Amino acid sequence: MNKKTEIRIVEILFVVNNFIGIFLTFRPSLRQLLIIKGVNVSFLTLIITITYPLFLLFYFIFLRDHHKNNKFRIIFNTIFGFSIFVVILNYLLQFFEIRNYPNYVYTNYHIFLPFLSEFASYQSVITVLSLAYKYNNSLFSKRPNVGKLVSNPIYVIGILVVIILSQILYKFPAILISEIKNQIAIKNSKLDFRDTMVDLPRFASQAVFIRDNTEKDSVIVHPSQTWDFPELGNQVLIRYYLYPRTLVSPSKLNNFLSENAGGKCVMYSVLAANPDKINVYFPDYEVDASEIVYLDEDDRKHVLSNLKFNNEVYKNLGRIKIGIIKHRLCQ
Amino acid sequence: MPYIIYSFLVTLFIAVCLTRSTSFGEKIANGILIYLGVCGLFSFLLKEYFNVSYADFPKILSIVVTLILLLGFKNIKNNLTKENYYKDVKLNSIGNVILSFFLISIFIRGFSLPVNGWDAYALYDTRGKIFSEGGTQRELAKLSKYDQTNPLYYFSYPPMTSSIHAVLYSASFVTPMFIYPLFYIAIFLYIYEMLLEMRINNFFRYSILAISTVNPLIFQQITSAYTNLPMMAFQWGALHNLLIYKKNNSFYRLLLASFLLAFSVWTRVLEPTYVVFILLALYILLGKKLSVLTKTILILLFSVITILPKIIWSLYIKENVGYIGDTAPGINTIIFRLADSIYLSRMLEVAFFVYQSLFQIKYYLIIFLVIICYTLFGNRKLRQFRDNNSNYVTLLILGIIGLMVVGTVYLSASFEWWDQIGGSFLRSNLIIIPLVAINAALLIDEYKEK
Repeated sequence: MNKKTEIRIVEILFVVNNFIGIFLTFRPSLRQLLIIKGVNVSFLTLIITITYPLFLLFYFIFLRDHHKNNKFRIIFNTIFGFSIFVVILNYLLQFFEIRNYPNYVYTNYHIFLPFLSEFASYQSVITVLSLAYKYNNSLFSKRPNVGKLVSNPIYVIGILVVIILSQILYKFPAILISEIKNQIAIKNSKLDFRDTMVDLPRFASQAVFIRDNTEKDSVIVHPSQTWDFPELGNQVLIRYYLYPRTLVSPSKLNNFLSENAGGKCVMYSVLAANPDKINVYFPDYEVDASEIVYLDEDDRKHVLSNLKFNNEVYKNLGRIKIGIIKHRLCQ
Repeated sequence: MPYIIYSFLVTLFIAVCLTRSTSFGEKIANGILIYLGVCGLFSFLLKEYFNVSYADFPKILSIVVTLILLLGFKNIKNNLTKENYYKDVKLNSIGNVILSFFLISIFIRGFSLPVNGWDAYALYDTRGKIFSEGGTQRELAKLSKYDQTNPLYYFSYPPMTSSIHAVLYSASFVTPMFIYPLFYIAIFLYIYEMLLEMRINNFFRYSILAISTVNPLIFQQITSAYTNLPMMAFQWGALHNLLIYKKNNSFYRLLLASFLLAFSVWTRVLEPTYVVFILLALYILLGKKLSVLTKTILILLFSVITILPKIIWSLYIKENVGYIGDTAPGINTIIFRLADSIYLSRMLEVAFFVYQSLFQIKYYLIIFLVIICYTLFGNRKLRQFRDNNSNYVTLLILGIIGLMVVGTVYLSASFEWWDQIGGSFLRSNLIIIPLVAINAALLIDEYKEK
C-alpha cells in the first residue's frame, strides 16, 4: 500500500467515524436540524463499531510511517486535538451531570451522555496513541508492513482489547459513585440492616410498617399488580417481609373466603396510594374497619378506630405513605 | 458459625493439599466452588428427604470433611513438603500481592452489604429465609394459592443459592452477600492461573485479565444476589478442569468437572447451556486414546452426574406440584415450536433482538469474529485444526451462541413477552465475556508457540 492511499484511508475513516460519533452524541437536536427521519441509530452504531477499530489500525500504521511533511502534521494535529477536545468535554459534562441532577446534560445541551462517554473512550485511545508517538515510543520505530501487521493476531486483537479496556475505564467512575451512594444509603437507612433494600428504600419501609402492625397468623389483602402498585402489588415481593402471613390478591379474595367460610381469621387490607396519582388508591372497596393505622408522608403515625373505610374517609386522611386496615370480621 | 468456618477452611486445606502438580489459586477456586455447591445441593436434599435442619448441616459437613482429612492424611503429608509449598504459593511478585489485596477486600466488603436485587428478594432470599425458619420447599406450593400473577413462582429455579442462604442464616450470619464475591474470586483465580501458564507478555496478560473479570457487567454481579454469577463460576470451573483433564488424563479432574457442571445445573436449570459443556466433554473424551468400553463408561458417568440435579428437580416438582408450565418443556414440544416459528419475519425479529441484547459486549463479539477468521484463513499454523485449547473454546462459544439463538426462537414462539428480557438475556450469557477474552489469549499463546 503506498503512502498516498494510506493517508486517504486515514482521512476518510477519520471523517466517517467522527461524523457518526457526533451524530449519535447530538442525536435528537441534529435530527431536528437536518430533518433526517428514520435514520436507524442501531445501524449507525454498528457502523461506528466497525469503522473505529479500522481507523485505529490505520492511524497506527500512519504514525509508524512518520512522514516528515506538512500534510502529515496537519492531519496528526487535527486528530490529536479533536480527541483531546472530546475527552475533556466528556469529563466536564459528566461533572455537570453529577453536580446537578440525572439527565441534566441531555435536557440542557441535547447531548446524549452515555454515548458521549463511549465516544470519548474511543477518542482517549487515540489521545494515548498520539502522545506515545509524540514522545517517540519504540512502538513507532519500525517501518510498517500492513500484511505482517494484519497476519499477526497480537496487533489486531491487541487493538480491540485496548478499546474494551478504555471503555471499562470510562465506566468505572460511575460505578464508584453508585457504590459510594449505596454505602451512604445503607448507613442512613432507618431500618434494621437485614431489612434494608438499597434499590427500593421506600418499598422496604412500607413493607416493614405492614409487618410491624400485623400478627404473624393474619390474612392480608394487597393491591393487584399494576403500574400503580408495581411493588406492593407483587405478592412474592411483599412476602419477603410478610411471611408467614397469608397473602391474598383482590381477585382471589372470593376464593379465599369461600374456602375458609365460617372460619375465624384476623384480616387486614393494605392501605396504599400511588404517590404520583392521589386518586389511585387501595382498597377500592368498602371495608368495615375496626382500626386503621397509617403513616403520612412525613412518617407520622395515625390511628383511627371503628369506622367504615370508603372514598370519603380516604379523602380525609391526607397524603398517606402506607397503612393497614383491620377488618372487623373475616370477610 | 464455627462449624461453617471450620468446614470451609478444612475444605480449602484438603483442596490445596490433596493434589500436587497444580497451582495454588486454582486449587483454592476448586475448594470454594465444591464447598458452596455441596452446601447448596446437599443441605436441601438432607432437609427435604431426611429432615435434617439447615442449622445441623454444617455439623454434618464438619464431620465429613474431618473424615476425608483423616483418610487422606498420608497423601497430604507427602504433598506438604516445604518444596511443594513454596513452588505453589508464588507470593513473590508485587502483582500477586496487589491482586490478593483486591480479592480479599471485595470478599470482606461482602459482609457489609444487605441482600440486593429484585429476583433475590422475590425468590432466592425469600426461600432462604423461609428455609432457615424451618420451612421446606414443598410447603411453598400452597403459598401461591391466592396469588393472581405468580403461580408456583418458588418452583421456577432449584434452590442452590437459597439453600446456601438458609445454611448461613441458620448459623446466625447477618448477610449471605459474601458468597457472591467468593464465586467471583473463584472465576478470577481460574482465569489468572490459566493466563499465568501462557507465553504472552505481561501487558497482554493483565489486559486480558481485566477485560474478562472487571468488566462492569460481571463485576457488578457481586453486589446482587442473582444466580448468574454462581452458574458462571460453576461452568467455568467445569471448563477449566475439563481442559486440564484433556492435558493430563486425570480421572479426578473429569469427576470434578462433572460435579461442578452438575452444581451449575442445580443453580439455573432452565438455561440449557450445560448441554454445550456436555458436548465438549464428549468431544474431548472421544478424542482420547482409550478403549471403547472405558470411553463409554466415562461419557455415561459424566453425563449422568451432570444431568442428575435436573432429574432430581423434575421428579421433585412432579411429586409435589405437578406441571409448572412452558418454561420447562419436553423435547417434542421444543421441536414442534421451533418448526412452527421458522419464517423470515420472525427470524429477522430474533436476529435484531439478539443483536440489541448483545450490543453491550459488541467488541467481545468482534474479537470472536477475528479469532474465527484467524482460525479459518490465518497463518497456516493457526489454521490447522490441531489439539489446541483455543479451538475447543471457540467451539464452546459457537455452541453457546447457537443455543442462544435457538432458545430465543423457542421463546419467541412460546411467550408474548419474549422481547422484553434483553437485560436478563445478556445476564444469563455473561460467560461469553471471559470465554472470548481467554480464547484470544489462547490464540496468541498458540501463535507464539510456533
